[in-house]
Amino acid sequence: MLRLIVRRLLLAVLTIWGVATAVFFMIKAIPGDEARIAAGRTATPEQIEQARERLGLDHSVVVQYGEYLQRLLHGDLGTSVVTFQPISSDLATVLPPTLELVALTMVINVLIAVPLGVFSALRLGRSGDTASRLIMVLGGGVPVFWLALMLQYLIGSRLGWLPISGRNDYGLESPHVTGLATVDALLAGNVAGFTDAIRHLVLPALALSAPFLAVVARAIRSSMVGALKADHVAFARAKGASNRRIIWRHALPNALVPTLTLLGMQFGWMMGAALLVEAVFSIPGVGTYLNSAVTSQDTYAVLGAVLVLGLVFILANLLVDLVQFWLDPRTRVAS
Amino acid sequence: MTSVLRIHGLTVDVGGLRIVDGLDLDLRKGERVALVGESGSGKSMTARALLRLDPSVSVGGSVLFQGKELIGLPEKEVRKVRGSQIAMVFQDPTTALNPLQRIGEQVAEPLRLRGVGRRSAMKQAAEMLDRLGVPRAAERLGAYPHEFSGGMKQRVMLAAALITRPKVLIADEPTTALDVRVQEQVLTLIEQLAAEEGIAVLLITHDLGIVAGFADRVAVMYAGRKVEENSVDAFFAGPSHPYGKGLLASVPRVDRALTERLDTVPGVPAKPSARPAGCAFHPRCAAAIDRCRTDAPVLLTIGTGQAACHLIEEGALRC
Amino acid sequence: MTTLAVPRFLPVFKIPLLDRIAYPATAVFVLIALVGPWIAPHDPYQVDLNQALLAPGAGHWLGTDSAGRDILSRLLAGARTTVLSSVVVTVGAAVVGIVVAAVAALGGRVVDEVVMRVCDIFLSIPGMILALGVAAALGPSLRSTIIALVVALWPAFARLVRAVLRETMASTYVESARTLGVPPGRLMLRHVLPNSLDSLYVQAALDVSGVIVLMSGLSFLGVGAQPPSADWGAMVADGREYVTTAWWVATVPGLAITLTAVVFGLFGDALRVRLDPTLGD
Repeated sequence: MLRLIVRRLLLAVLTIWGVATAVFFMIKAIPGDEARIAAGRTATPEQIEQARERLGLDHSVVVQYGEYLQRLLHGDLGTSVVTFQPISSDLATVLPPTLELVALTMVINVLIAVPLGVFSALRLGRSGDTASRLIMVLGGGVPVFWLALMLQYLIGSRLGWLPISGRNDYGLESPHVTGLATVDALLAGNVAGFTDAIRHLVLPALALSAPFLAVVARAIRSSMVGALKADHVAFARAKGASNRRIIWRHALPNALVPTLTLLGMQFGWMMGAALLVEAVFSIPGVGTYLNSAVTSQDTYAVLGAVLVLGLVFILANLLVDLVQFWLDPRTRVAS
Repeated sequence: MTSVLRIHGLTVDVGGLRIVDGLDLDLRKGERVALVGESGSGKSMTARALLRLDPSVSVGGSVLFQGKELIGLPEKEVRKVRGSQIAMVFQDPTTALNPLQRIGEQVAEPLRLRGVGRRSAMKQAAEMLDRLGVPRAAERLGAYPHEFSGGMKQRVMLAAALITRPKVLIADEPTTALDVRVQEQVLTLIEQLAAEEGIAVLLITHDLGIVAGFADRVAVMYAGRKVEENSVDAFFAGPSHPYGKGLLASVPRVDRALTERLDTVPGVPAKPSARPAGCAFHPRCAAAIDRCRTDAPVLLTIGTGQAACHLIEEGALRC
Repeated sequence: MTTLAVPRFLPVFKIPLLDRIAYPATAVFVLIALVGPWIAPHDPYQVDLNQALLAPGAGHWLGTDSAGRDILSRLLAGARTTVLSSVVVTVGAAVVGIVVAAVAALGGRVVDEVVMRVCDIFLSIPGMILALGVAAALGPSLRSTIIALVVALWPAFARLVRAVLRETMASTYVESARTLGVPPGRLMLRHVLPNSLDSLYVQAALDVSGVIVLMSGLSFLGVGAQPPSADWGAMVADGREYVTTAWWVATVPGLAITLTAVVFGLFGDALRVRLDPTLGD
């Protein structure tokens, strides 16, 4: 098992290095003077020269690559030409709102997809199954940004049940500790602030979860169909287990373990798709940052964000792999 | 001796197809009966139908367990019988044990389902595994199935089936997935335990080779019907039905030269979707007469057993 | 939860309702995409501020947008771009994926390992983000969106095809062809690929649906097809400001995206069931 974990870790490091390298070559591939790109559209000739010197652009590409990796190791992603802040500190500010949104989305995802997939598998080929499949197909087809817009309009504006933008109502913010509005509220003992933060997250998380839960429900459905046909389920029945016990104790755990890998990947994808929802609900997350960086051609900020999202993806998958090792005795004991 | 399990006119329908068609079989206390047939003959479906394991399958006829009718019994009542009164083991111990659950948990489950406390159930599980020859049983309750060999897994499954001291054990091809050497061991274990506890065993198999040393009685199924039944001795001395003869001739024997070619039953088994008219076996029967193509034969008492073949009536067949 | 519906012994022969409507529905949508611009009741680009934000009614069945353009006509005009470019993206990504996978399969262990690690790297950047980055770098246009999405989607295809290829290459008939001395290139083209295509078709059909949604997302963000061209994602973005006063401007194109993606998704599903009945789905 230790060997497997070490292998996973090495692979993760390798992939992170690969993403960094890919980003480096993306910078090189963008046509035009890189110093000008780094200094921003409105830079003066002196600023451009400063950028050229700072980035060592007069050196050979190999040396530049080495220097680039070195800067990365020190957490230096360059300076935003829009905020004039180090991109790493910008990202540290915008990452928590997105993480918070994605975390709640994941919870909603699992809470809806698992029962839906199980129900569909139990009603296989009957109208209940068809209805569930229709929900899955709809979830997979609806564009997240449009669903966000519709939820915002109908439930937020028309019905007024939930807030339509931002992270906290005015006056309910908590002192900044982690940057996660919910956690900070709890740390400050601000119950109203916590509820308010959650209320702000519900609609964006609901919208963001749609395409993901469609995929998970499908995966659960088909692995559940397989699990219910398994011999060990028949054996459990022959031992006298009730249907409920067979479903929840004998079939579902076996159906869930392979789905974990999918959830791990989805975490990373959600971080990416979050930008569509953040745009609609004005959440100051990575997506919003990335989007404005794209619009203002803040190239280094774009690449920094890409790098961080890649990192989150790799770490989330690594975590899931480890959890899976721990959950599945076949891999846990094999060493 | 009284019957523990009396099957009468059992029918099994799957998706509109009749897989088992009017099966009669008696299982007396402590008796070991082998139900033999090729794949698709309906023998496994019979085993599963007795416990009503497949809800999408409709089962008809009558199954009396100690005088109590099981067919038509509500699911909740059937559940009380499963595991505690009639237990079952499956063909492949690798797929029949849950890979994610510990051995102890799986063996103790039938007791836990009946309200036995965890510690007591685990203790009994260890004892049962020990009786079945699993080494260091108490220590290995926390192990997972993949840590066991095939033979050991089959013992684990047997332990889970027998832990409640059932009256009947249905063993569906319990040795097919095992090495020949291990097959022998597992069968001996079943035989021993059944004898000690007075458990009646219904052995489902396609392998006549293991029947001779194990069973008291043999029933042969073909295309969903019982075509022959007799005591093991009488059957192996000379089957009455042409199909039984064919099966027996296809078993390798030590008393014949290796150079001699094994006989096989020609053709392929009848499919439930295209069962021939008359005697379902007639297309493969060398001795078939006109009547076989039109009339379905009924079971006739012959010697110590029964057989369903027109040739017996016609006197064309000697036993 | 009273019974477990597990048809254990027989495959389900009955085709579920959803799969039955999939093929005709797809045909209708492809047809609309092809003839869309010619059956539009109005000029999709005709600006008429006097007609701005008209609610759906007799003159304009689906209403008009803020520039007074007929939304139905714009939907029909945009249908072709949406469907065609999604197909182009999917085919492009599939072709790149197949080539890369074939190289990996023929190139031996080292090449295979390197190719798969490169796929891992691409896959670890969320597709949406990768596409956004590439599209932005190339300058916002329909063409860059298409290129960006191909860049984002080929690794998934490469992985799938590689897995299938490996399975096919391990089969006995490929083994025997190899033993007979069939050269690698011919082996791949004549013996391996044709037998590996089924799951590729399914993936491609399902992907068209995903690409429709992804692409609309990119144009919603403003990096897709540029105004005034009638692009569904951009139409939703245009309608955003009027969502409280003229709901139809954003709602209608969103519904169009959903419906189209759903129909192509059903098509992929139906294809999967048809090509691999053992799936039992």
